[in-house]
Amino acid sequence: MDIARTEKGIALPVAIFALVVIGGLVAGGMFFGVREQRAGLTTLKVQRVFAAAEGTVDRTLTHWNRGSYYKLSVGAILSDTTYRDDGTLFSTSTVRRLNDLLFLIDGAAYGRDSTVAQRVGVLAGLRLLEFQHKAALAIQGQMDIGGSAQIDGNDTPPAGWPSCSISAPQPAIIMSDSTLLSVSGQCADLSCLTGDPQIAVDTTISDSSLTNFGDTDWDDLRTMATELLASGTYSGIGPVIVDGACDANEPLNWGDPVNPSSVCGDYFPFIYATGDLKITGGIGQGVLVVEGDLDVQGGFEFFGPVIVRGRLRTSGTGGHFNGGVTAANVDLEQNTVLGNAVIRYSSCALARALRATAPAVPLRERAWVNLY
Amino acid sequence: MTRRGLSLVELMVAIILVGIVAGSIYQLLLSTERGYRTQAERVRVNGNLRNAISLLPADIRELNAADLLGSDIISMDTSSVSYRAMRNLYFLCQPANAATAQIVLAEDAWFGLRPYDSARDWLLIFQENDPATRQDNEWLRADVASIATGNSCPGSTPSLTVTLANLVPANPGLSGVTDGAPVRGFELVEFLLNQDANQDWWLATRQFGKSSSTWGPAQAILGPLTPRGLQLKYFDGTGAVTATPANVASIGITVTGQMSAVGGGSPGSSNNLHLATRVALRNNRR
Repeated sequence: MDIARTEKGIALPVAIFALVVIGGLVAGGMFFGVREQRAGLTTLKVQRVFAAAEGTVDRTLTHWNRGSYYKLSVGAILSDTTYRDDGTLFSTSTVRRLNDLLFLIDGAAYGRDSTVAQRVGVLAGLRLLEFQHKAALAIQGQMDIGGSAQIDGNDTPPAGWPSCSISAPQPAIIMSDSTLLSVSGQCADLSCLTGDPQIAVDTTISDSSLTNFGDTDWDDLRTMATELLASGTYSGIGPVIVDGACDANEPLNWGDPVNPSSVCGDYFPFIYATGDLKITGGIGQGVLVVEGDLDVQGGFEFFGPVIVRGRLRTSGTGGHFNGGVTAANVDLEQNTVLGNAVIRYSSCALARALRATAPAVPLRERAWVNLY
Repeated sequence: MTRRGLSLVELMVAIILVGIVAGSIYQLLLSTERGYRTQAERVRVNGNLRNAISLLPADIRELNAADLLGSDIISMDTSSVSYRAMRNLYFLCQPANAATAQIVLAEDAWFGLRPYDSARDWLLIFQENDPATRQDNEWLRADVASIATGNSCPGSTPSLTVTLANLVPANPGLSGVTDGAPVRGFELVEFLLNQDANQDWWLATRQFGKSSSTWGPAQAILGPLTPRGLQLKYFDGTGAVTATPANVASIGITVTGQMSAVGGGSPGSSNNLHLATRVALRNNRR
């Protein structure tokens, strides 16, 4: 009998048992490892999605679509969805109008595998330009008014504009020193100036007070512009409609103030002229900012605030301004309002143009909201 | 007669060899089992720490430490912080009534962790004042005297009519609080490191009771942590450490989880796990 064949040992069972136990423990360890890895990956995904949700809110604020959001009625919402290039997540930005000035920007981001989602919001308000001096014309330095020009501080709503209220009359002119005003022609007796008072004197008027608007300084104005206009002479300004839509890409399309219900009726560009600007006719609305001098002829008509860093000159059939004109005249040259120019105070034109052209910024405090 | 068998020497050699092999297998089993337990313990503690690290920042982000009416951070030290925790966001559906000190909130359009709870929440009300400037925007603070549900919002939609009490600042009151103004509900919360009856340390929280005007009992949320398991550091806008609540711009949070003895942990052990983060306050006045 062969002993080697009949010998019974325990090595094999022990080895198998040990392998099974060790295999089980290793599998358990791997299970925990995988679980830990998944938990870590989920944390990472949550962080990415959170950043994406915040990012979509920031992006909405940075690229504030003034035209679209201005048209939103109170309580209405407008949504936009963005898919990230790498396909890992997508985000949705929803803008809800709370009242005339306030919006809630709701940013939500989701993993494409539907495992994570984050939602945050920002309360934002329109950043309106703040005018320290309320008048039809706020001006610094020498001022010459003549011809059949008229400057009217009575609050006058533009014809056909809906929902305009009328506020108390403002001064026709506000300036630092009334002795700097010279009148001639039909205005020799100051009858061309209407307002309460006709002329207001504010000795604090300076370059600074005429070129700073609350927390917005002159440099900010350029960044707020939707249209940058090179120095030069322009004519033919007016609404441009292409395929039934108002063409915002046309630099000389400054909206349609005389037909407020037309497709360009609620288009209000923020125009920044980088140098001297000469306008020889046309119509427009919005905010007009001129880095240099503004020279207007040919019956140009504008609705909204006009802010000129240099001097103001009108002549011939002049210009018709509805809203208010601020001329800082930083070089203290001669301002002239001649011809049949009309500068008329209109709180409605000012408010509508300022609201329609204002970017949105987060509230000064407590803007950030966890929307869960 | 020849009998086949094992000599004593052979038997002893066999026993020794079997002993060596069995011992090795036992050692292998033991270390594998220890590794398994440590791994399981690490996963448990890590999960705890992740939860802790995700709980605090959600509240901290919404703080306004620089509120002119008083910082949202009520008290702070290295192992506890108490603050106004934002819980819900509503909007006025009609202008505030200054004469009756009443506001009407749209009940069907609220956001947040939970709806308004009169037993726990105070209110912050956005005051626009002059629409032409942002400089005078404020958040008023108020308690609630009474609250009534109804359908007083435009279109007879559900509403909460809230009568306010203890408005701060009392003057000019509710003038300038417009239709659509946001209203935030908040409660007073404290996060702290708390030791239980078994001498274990836990991350705990407690709420301030409006009716009792005292802090409620601490409730453990996560743990066990080490005796220094919650370390808070407060930084100002320049990144320097500050002890002034109104100057806080970000908070550094380090949580240290106590590994059990099985996982090789002890109060001062390097095996204990840490997780750290730093959270910027989003709502400071700018």
